[in-house]
Amino acid sequence: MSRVSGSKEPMLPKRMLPKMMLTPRPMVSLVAALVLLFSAQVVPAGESKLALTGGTVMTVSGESIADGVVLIEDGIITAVGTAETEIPYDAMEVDCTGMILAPGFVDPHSSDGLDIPNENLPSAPFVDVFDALDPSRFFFEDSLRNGVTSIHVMQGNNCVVGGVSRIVHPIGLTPHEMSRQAGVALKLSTTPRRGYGRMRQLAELREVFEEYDRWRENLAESRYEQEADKEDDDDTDALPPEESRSQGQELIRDEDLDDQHRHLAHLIDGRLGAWIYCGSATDVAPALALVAERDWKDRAVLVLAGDAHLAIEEIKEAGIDVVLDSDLIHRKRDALTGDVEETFIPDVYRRAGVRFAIQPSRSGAMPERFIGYQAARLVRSGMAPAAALRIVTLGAAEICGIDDRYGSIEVGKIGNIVMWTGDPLDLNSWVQKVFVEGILAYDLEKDARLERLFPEEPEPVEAPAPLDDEGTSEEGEGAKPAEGTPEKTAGEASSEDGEPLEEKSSEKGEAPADKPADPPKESSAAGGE
Amino acid sequence: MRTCTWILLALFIVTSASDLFAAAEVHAYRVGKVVTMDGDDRVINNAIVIVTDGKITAVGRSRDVEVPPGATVIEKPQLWLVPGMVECHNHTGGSSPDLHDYIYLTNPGLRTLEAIVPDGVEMERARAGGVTTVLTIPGSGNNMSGFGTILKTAGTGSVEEAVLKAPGSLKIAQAGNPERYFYGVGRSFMNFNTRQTLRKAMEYHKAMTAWEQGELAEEPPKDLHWEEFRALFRRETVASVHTQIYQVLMTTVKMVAGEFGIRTVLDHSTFDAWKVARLVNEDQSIYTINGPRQLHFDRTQRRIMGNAARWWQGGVRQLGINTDSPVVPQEELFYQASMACYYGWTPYEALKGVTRIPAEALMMDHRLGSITVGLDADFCLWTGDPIDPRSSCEMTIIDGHVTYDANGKRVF
Repeated sequence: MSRVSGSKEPMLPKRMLPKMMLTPRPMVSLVAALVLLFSAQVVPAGESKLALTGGTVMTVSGESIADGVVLIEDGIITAVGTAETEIPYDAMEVDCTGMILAPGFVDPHSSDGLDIPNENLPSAPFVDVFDALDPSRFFFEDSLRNGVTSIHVMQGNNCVVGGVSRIVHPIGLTPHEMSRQAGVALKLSTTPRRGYGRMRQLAELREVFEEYDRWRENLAESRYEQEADKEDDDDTDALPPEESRSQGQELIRDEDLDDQHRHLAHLIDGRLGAWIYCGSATDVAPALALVAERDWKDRAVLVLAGDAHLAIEEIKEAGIDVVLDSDLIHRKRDALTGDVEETFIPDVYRRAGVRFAIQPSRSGAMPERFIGYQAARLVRSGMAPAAALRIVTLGAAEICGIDDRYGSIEVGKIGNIVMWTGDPLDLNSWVQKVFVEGILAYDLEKDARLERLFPEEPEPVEAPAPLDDEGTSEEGEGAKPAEGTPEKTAGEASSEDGEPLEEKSSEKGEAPADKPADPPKESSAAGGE
Repeated sequence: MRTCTWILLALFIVTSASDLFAAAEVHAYRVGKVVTMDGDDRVINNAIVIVTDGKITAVGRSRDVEVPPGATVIEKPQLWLVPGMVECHNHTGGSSPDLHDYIYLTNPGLRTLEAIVPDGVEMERARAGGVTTVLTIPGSGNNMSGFGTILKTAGTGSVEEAVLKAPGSLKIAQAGNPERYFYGVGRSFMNFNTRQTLRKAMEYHKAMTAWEQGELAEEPPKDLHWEEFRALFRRETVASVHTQIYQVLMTTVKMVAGEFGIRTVLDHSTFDAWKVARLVNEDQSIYTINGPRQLHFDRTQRRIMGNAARWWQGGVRQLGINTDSPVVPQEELFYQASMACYYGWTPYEALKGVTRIPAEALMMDHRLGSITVGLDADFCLWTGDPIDPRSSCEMTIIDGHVTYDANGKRVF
């Protein structure tokens, strides 16, 4: 019953809207809560000074500071210290007393923010996630709500070469406003894409780089000849092809690279990372062979899924970082006994000393969406809480190669800071506020989607009415908040001596003792979708 | 043979002489109300509109306008005189299989002018529904399917007579159909490919412009693939972009209008595209021609929303309506506008959204879209407000000629 009335409520925009107003911009009242969040965020960073005071600062990079101060100027952290830290006279102060300040989580690999990610064209080194970024995705809004402030957006697990990735902030109206670093890594895959066999997948992957090498040799030769032609007209120093090819390598400029080869060239010269998807243990060996052959140890990351952890010895020996699938448990059934053996995958890497990151986002998979929950499970399996927090912040930033700007609360880093009501890995904690580049990007108080989860006024608990005949009035009191809208039932209760309540409660026929706890639970189910 | 020639010659002399000496053809429409849709938004009761040789030569109250001697007076004191509707997104002005020639993912060099069929049942129904001009464009099965043609629905014999402007627009499609091309393509490749095509066209245009201005020693080779894009980059014609949903509409504004500086018409602009209103407002040359489908169910907010109303609330004023005929029949353009009002828009603005706004969007407002002296005499006589589904179109006049009269053969 109360579920029905709950789902009807959102159809009353006039009642809801004033609560949803986040900013004083005139346009804001016209658009939905989602856009409200966005429009609050597109205020350009700059000329703003923000001092977060009174909270416990979990820097991740160093010791935590009780009653600390974090100063953010023009989006960059400029001071982290104790309460004695000097605050500029023109900084706006945000009181964080009783709160915990932690660096925003780093999502190391996600394609959830994309509209139709490219998983169709097998070999597409020229595509960029920029062209498919969809700022209106609920995913971005939800990332803020869950404390994620930087996302490495990447596509192409189902490709041979899946295109180039970028780092985005989960706020902004357009990809231009969201993007913070273009060209982070190129996705390769040794796992057969749909419809491919293993041999075909690996043959095509080889061919991509073979073709690149041939193309580059020809380009080098023609570049050498161009330069030689400029210097003098006689052909005296015409070199054999091999010679001119090797000398011409140096002469290749960025503008000589075409779309098909530009990102491959950037991968090979080290400007892009090589993120290789391995969907199973079988796919790890060819990936490691490619890394060894091309000498990419410094830029390679394995994106793993399935039973890839069975290749732990090889991964450890290669000394490469890995990004784990959101499903952290691998289940294997013994063929003879039928027993299911469960492996908590991060444990395997932790014991082997392999650096790993966790990807949270697989929309739809329930607990795997929450990176804080994933980190909490690491603690359950025996990791120190500080180390687990590091995995989802600084650790992930290191693997993405962005730890110079993200992942901890340190002077010089980007001011992406989450204010928690408690420990970030405690699921009783809520994200209270999120600052992205020093701008308030999210505020729990103004989150229209959670307003049913935290009703403004608690339901009044009335003293039990005198007992006329046993049970009924008590039952009525208990069932009251669950029935219909509160005002209506309150009116009925006072005017009609509890009669209708009796009817309703008899309809329900449930044990009265559980009732008072019900309404918040039910309304959260209706409103928190 | 010889007599034949003589007769022809004689006929020619007679007809041209009669053209020369005959008095101009003048019609005076005396009606109950004229909704001019002009710059001053004038609505004139008990009015007269004078049409001379297919052009409007006078508009005003009956007592102010003098009917020239010899004019044919059409007395319709009960009817409304409303500008002929302009359809920005039509696929029925040409033969269907020819319009949708999906060879590549982007097809520069194709144009619908080659496939125009100026009359037929669809055109007749368009006239009877008050639509006097349509932009016939190819479909959205790929990202760029060719240049469209603006033509009148008068049903005249030849293509030349019907065509008003060619190329009338470049059709670009960014979402909702091109994904299905061949083996299926994702968003990042489609946008990459469209951008590459436009870049090549831009390079050609720049090279040709440089040659024309004497900056190049040698004339670049002429390339019919790119020739018609030049008008586009000179902003003499527009791009009709089949676009919808937030991500795609945002890309349209940023890429087509922003990066390439093309005058852009956002066709469809449905689903949650209205959330991009703020971005659209930043470029005042963009027109939003909404529809078909006036209703959007927002899943994240669980609310029913009217597309046009949301665009309007977002501050977008250059807002019109289309049918995507034959997806919604051409004669139901007014009905799309009615539905836009049902979901929260206002009738007067909706009527403007099917007359003057689309005429402006297609850069044809010097010829069409309002009852203004000097413009083509394209208008319809209605029994009431065209946005009201109870009203019917009684008479359609295109270039001063009555092309539909419900008194003769009623269609609706």
